[in-house]
Amino acid sequence: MDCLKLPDFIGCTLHISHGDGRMLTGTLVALDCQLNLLLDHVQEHRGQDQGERSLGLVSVPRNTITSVKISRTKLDRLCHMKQEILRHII
Amino acid sequence: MPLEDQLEKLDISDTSYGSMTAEIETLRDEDGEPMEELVDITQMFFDLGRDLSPHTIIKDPGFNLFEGTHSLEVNNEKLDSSLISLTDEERQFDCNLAYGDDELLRLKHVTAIVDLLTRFLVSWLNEYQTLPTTVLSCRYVEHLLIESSKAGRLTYLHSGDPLYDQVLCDAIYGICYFAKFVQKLLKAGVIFEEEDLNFNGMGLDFLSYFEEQQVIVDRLHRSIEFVESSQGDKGTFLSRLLRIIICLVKMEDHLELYSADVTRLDELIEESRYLDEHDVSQEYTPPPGCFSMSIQKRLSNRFPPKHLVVPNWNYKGFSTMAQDLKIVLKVNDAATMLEAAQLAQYFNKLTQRHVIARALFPLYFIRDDQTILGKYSTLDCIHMHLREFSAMSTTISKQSPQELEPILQEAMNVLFEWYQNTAQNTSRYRQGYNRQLLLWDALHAQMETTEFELAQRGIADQTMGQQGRIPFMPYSSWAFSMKVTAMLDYVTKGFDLDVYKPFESFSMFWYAYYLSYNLEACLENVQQFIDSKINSIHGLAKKIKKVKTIEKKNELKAQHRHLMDTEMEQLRTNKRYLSYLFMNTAIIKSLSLAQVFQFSILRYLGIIDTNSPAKSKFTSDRLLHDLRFKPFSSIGVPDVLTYETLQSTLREFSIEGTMSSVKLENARQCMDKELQSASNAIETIKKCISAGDNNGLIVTGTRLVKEEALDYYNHLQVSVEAIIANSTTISSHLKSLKSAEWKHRHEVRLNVPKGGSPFFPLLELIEKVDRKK
Amino acid sequence: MIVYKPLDLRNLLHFEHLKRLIDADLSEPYSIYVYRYFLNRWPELTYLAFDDESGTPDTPIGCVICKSELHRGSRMRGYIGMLAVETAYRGLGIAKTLVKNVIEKMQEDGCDEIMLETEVENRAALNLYEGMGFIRMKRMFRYYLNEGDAFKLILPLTQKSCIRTTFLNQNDELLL
Repeated sequence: MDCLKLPDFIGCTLHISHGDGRMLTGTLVALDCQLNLLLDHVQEHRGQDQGERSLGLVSVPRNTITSVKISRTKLDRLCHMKQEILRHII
Repeated sequence: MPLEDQLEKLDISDTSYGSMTAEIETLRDEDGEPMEELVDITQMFFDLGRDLSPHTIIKDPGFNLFEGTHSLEVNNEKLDSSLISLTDEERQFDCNLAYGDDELLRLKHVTAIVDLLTRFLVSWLNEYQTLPTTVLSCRYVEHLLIESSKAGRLTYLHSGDPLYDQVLCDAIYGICYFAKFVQKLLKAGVIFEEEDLNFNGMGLDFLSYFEEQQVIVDRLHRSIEFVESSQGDKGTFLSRLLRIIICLVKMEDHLELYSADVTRLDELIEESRYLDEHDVSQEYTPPPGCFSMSIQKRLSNRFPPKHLVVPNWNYKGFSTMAQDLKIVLKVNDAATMLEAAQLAQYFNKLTQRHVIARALFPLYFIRDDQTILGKYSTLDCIHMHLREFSAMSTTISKQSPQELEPILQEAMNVLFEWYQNTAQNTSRYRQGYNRQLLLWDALHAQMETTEFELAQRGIADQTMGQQGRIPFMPYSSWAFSMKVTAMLDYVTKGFDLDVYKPFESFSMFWYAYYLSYNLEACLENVQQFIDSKINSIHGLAKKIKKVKTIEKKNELKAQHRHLMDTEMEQLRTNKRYLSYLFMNTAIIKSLSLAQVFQFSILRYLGIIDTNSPAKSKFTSDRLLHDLRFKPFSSIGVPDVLTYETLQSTLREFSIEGTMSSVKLENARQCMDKELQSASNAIETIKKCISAGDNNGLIVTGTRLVKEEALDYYNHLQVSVEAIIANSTTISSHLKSLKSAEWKHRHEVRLNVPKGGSPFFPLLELIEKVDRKK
Repeated sequence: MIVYKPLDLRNLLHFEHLKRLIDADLSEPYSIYVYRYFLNRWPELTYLAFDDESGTPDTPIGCVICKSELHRGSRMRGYIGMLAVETAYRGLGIAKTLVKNVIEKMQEDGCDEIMLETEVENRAALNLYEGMGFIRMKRMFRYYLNEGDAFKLILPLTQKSCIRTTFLNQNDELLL
């Protein structure tokens, strides 16, 4: 996992939690130096009873984020691929 | 290197991996598998981001950051619909409860809901509001649309009270069925989303699965009967509302069946008048929580949160809608293309018509089956247009050579665009002409080339005049007149939209004068041609007398009768229509010239000039002129008005030097003369519009838009009088040339007097407002 | 004294202040990425005004945010995206100086014209820009979220601004 850098996460589906019990899932399309994220195809989850809805393109300021998660398979695949590339370069 | 590329470089240079991105792209396609174990990478993620340079934007190379400017934003009050706060009533609202403790209260609640929904329709369509803040803010509407869509049929509430379970549901389905019709109009692409109309349906299906209008109408009738029989007088308001909804449901017939029957529209006007006069908004209130912003928070939503609309007592809005639709539907009665074109010309010119009427017009005129009004082919249509102007019984139209066909097709396309443009909102209307200038110009050039080639093959028309035979091109003449008219419309509409500053008014009015002068010359050619056609038929009659043999006499008589039967009437109509066009053009010409004189007089006072008053080192008066005339810069004929030409024109009109008092008097006299002749022409046209086209003098083709056309000329007449009065006011300042200080305190503004034409605003002398205050 | 400086992206506080300044002033809602779009790509086209005699000399009291791009493949168009001055500092010509500075910069960079949109009802903005030579090219119906019409204003800097795009492109083809 150490080999990964930020650009590797562009195009990945991220699961972002906010303090208010909301979770946004979306594809990371951009981020800036402050780690404000721009996610596309965003789905908003607000607990069991309130269901899920889509919001499209959403800017997620750094200070609203409590956690960032990614699926295990996706992460493994990213790491694997990255190692392959690094090996080729060396 | 383009900036975009530089940026990409910049991104990668921070943490560069060459071909990485491409690999990730393919990975991303495999995404969307079932959710599984998530790994928390918060710490790593934030650690990685610790030392990013301030310029960094890491992004997908295929993603344009510009799109990001339209994003929503978490925890931003203006951009996060999740932050909308709800009351307990809103949160706990249950659509299957019959709110209201007794029957009367329940009736009041249901009446209030339907009343508000109906007025929301006016907010939505007449006042440009969007659906989630109006109709869709009603919990019942949302609930029924969702449930019905799931079932694929209309489902009903189960509160146990028929006022809710039947009447309210029927009303809502009626409203949604009408909304579906509006959606269809919008999708036809004539009007613009988020400009003319907002249809943000929040992803809900507006009864796409339900086509049976009659069922909805029958159920509404059933509900009216129920309300009347069970509630008596107390239910009157509600049953009146249901009647309005029936009229709205039936409105689609004008599009689906091209019905020109206005019975329902008259009924709508009648009902809306009744409701307008009976403001009961204080009497009825909806159950708490029934109307709410909550739909914006609960459903998928790509829009920023917006507060609910608080509608006025706006039932008059339905009357506006119906009246405007009635005007549009009159096009069904067009006896000639001239009448259709005049309807298009006038119906939306002074007053922007209701969006439904504007959307319907082009769809009603040019139908799905490619016919015009269900009667004519497109080729018929263009031939009729041409025949009613210049191409009556011409050599070319009689032979209709093949090479003309594609050009006529092209002409039809441009003409369609013209028709469509007449229905646009007031700003688009001018932009449409901007585009059309190029189209008409190209068509004009094409027609000229073709007619020239045809002439070389002997297929040519000529005007027989006192000077002998003069070649005449009927098709190019039409295209030219359409082009110059479009240019004039574009120029004068700029005044209406407040696009020109006073300093620019000299060049714009002068240009309008110049264009109408060119149009007049074109009309003159056409008229001479028509005259010579008429004369040649009359000449035949004289010839008959001179011919000796009976046989020859009979032959000529037959020929004469044939021409009298088939051509004479149309030729006379054309002649009278041309007389109208002459007068109409003369009005524009005279008014424009009068304004040019007025400007010169004000310039003599030293408080206005054609140069920009801006003290800018960034640009020049020449550049500003060239930019203003950019839309016309590519037009071949008439010549472009260059900066030099304009300057020399300005000198010609300039009042200065030793003869200035004579020049001034001259200018005032010329102005008076022009205004008088404009006024006379306006009066004549008004009389002829009122009298109808059988007046024996001019044909205006305004039978279907009498009121609107009269209105247009009335406004012009008011402007003429106001310009005269204004000129007198200005003249009172001319007695002595004013001090520098006086000049400093005064300026010129463009102002439309009450009831005056927005296309010819006054050049008014006013005291400057202190901007600091 | 009011001091004018181009944006320094490294100063993260400036970024926050800019957002606050604009949000207070303009009715349109803007996300962080509206600012990122302009500031990161065209940092040299954002100018800030500071009051160095105030207690907070490092807090901008006014700003103008612009971009410049090739328009329809034919001419360089500068675009004034946002302009804001804190209420207490209005009427001192700060907006005018900000705009002047940034137009000068865009002119240096080879822009053929400067464009912007403003509400028809915004007399102050119209006076400001028209006083610099901008003219109204077209009116846009219900352009803003608050439902007002807008004017599109253009300031021509070179002759290229005055030729229809279709024509410019044709000429390019002829040159090739």
